[in-house]
Amino acid sequence: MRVFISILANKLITLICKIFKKNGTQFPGSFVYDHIDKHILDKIKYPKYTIAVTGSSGKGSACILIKHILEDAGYSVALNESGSNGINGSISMILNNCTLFGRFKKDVLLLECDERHLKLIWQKKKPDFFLITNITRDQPTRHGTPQVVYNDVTSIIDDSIHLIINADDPFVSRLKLTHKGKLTTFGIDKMKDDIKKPLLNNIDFAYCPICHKKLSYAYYHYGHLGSFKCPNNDFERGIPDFVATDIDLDKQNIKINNNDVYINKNVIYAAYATIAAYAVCSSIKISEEKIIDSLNNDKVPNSLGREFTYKNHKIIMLETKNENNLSYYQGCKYIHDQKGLKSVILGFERVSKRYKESDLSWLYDINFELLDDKNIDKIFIFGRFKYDLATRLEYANIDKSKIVLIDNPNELMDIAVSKTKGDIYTMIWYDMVDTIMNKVGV
Amino acid sequence: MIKILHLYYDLLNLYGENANVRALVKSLEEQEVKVRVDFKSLEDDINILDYDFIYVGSGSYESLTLAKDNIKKLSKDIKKFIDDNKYILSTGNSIELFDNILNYKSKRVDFRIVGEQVYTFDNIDKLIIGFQNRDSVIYDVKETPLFQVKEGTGYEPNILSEGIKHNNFYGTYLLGPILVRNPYFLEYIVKNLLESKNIKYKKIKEGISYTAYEEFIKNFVLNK
Repeated sequence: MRVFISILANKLITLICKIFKKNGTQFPGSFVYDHIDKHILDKIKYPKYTIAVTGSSGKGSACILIKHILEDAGYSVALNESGSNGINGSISMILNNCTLFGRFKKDVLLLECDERHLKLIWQKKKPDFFLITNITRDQPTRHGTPQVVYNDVTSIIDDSIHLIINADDPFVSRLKLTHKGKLTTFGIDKMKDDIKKPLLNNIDFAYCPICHKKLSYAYYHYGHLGSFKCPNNDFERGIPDFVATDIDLDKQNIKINNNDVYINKNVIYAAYATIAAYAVCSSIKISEEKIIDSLNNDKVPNSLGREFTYKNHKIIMLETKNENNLSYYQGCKYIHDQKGLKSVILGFERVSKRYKESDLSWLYDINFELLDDKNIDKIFIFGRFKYDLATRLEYANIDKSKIVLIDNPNELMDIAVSKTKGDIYTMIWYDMVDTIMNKVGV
Repeated sequence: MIKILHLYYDLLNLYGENANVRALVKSLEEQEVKVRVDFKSLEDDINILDYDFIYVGSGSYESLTLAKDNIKKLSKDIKKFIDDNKYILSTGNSIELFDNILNYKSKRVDFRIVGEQVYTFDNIDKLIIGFQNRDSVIYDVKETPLFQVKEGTGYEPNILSEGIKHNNFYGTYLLGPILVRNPYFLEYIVKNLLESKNIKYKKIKEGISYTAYEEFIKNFVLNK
C-alpha cells in the first residue's frame, strides 16, 4: 500500500509542479522520502538492467552517451537527465517511471548518483552495474576530503555488483584490490599533452595503498589520473580492459580496439566519457559494431558549453564548476589550446549553490598558470570575489595590464567586447550565466 | 638565503595549501631575499635543522596517519628546531603531527567541524580570516593559543582559543591558503623571520591581496 501511495503522490506532485511551471525534479521525491517512505527505492520491481553512475566529475556526460547507445540498440532507458542526482531527484525520477504498483516500466534504469547520496539511494537494492568515473577533490566544504567520498562510494558495493572503474585513477582503481565480483576497467592511453610531474603538488593519491611506497607515474593526464605503478608491484594501473588510444582532441577522434571513434568535444573529459560509456555498454553485451555505429553515425551533441555571437565576437561559455579544480583546469586548458587572439571572463557571486560558506582554497588548486598565454589579450573579472581571483592570477604571474576588474556585471559584456578583439571565453559559475545570457539576448 | 622545507608536500596538501609556500617565497623575493624551497616527504632523507622555515599542510585521516608514523623519526630534530626559535607553520589537521613534541593531545571525533572563521591575533591589529574543515580536535592543551575566536570554532568546540604558539611554532586548524588570504599575517611572519636572520624588513606597497582581504572583511565579517 505504501508503494502505491508513494508513487501516486510522486506522480501527482510532479503534475502539479508542471502545471505551475515549477521544477518538479526533486520536490516529489523529497515529499515521499520525508513523509511516506524512506526505503521506497528498495520496494520497486526493477528492470533487467540497473546502472548507477557516480564520480567527482564526468558522470553526466557519460550517462548521456550510455543512454544514447542503449536507445540506439533498442532499449528504453530512464535517466535523471535534469541533474537532480541526490536521493530526492532519484526517487522522483524512478517513481515517475513506475506503474502505480511499483513495476519499473523501462528496460534500463540509468541513474546518475551524487557521491554522498549513494548510500541513501541504494540501501538494500544494489545496481547491476556501477560506473565510477573518478574521485578527486571537489566541494571541500561538503565532502571534507576525497577519502570521505571514497568511503561513501564503497559503502554500497558488494560482490553482486559489476563494477566499471577508471583504471587511470588510483583512488578508484584500488577497488581492483578488494572487489571479488565482476570488474571492468577503462582508461586513456598516453597523450601528447601529458605531464611528467604535477605542477601544483596537489594530487590526491600519491602512495600505494598496500605498501605505502610512492607510486611512480609514467605520465599524468591531469590531477592524479595517469599511468601509475607501485615500485613493489603491489598496485598498478595495468592495461585497462577498454583503452582509448591515439587521442586526437583537435580532430575529436580516439581509437578503441583500433576503430576510430568520435568524441563529442575536443577535451579530455569527452574522451573519458566515451570510453566509460563504451565499457558500460560492452559489459551489457551491446556489440562493438553497434556501439561504434551509435557513437560515430548518430552523433550526440555536447550540451556542455554554449557558443553565440555578440557584437561580432564569438562568445564561448565553458562549463566550470566552482570548488572542483579539475573542472576549472580543463576549462583553462581548453582556452590555452585554442589558437588566435582571445580573452577570458572569470567570476562568481557565490562559491556554492548548496551552502553559504565562502571557502576559496580551491582557487589555489587550479592551474590558472595556463592563462599566462601570449594569445590572451585581456582577462575580465567580476563578482564579489574579483579581488581574490585577481590575487590568484597575480600568483600565476599573469601580466597585470591584462586584468580588467568589472564592478557592474550588467556592463561586463559591453566592456569586454569594447576592450578586446578575438574570441571571448567565459568560465563563470551558474549564478552569473543568466545575467550574461539576458544581456546578450540569447 | 632563507631555506624553506615544504614537509609532506605530496601527502598533506589539501585545499590549495601549496599557496602558503608560494606566498612566503613571493613575499621574501619582494624583500630581495634569496629563497630555496625543498619539497620532502615520506621516502626522503630530511635534515630538519638545515632549514629556517618548515611548512606542513593538512590531509585526509589516512594521509595524516602515514605522516604521523613517519614524523616520529624526525621528532628529536623538530623539538630542537622549535627550541632554537626557528619557524614552523602547520595548517589544518597537521597540528596533530606535533602532539608528541608540544604539550597537547589530539583525537579523531565523529563529527566534522566546517565553516568560516574570524580570529584575533595579539601580535597584529588585523583580524585573521580562514576556514576550517576537520574531524579531529586537540585537547588537554598546555600551550599558548595562537588565536582567539571572534567567530567560529576553537581547537575544540565551545573553546575560544584556537591554535598553538610555542616560540615560533605557529599551528592552526585554519586550512587553505591562509598566508595569501591574510596578507598582514604574512607580513608579520616574514618580518619576524627576516629579523631572526638579522635582515631588515622593508614595508612594501600593499597589493591586490590586501584589497581582497579588506573586501572579504567588508562583505563577510562586517556586513554579513
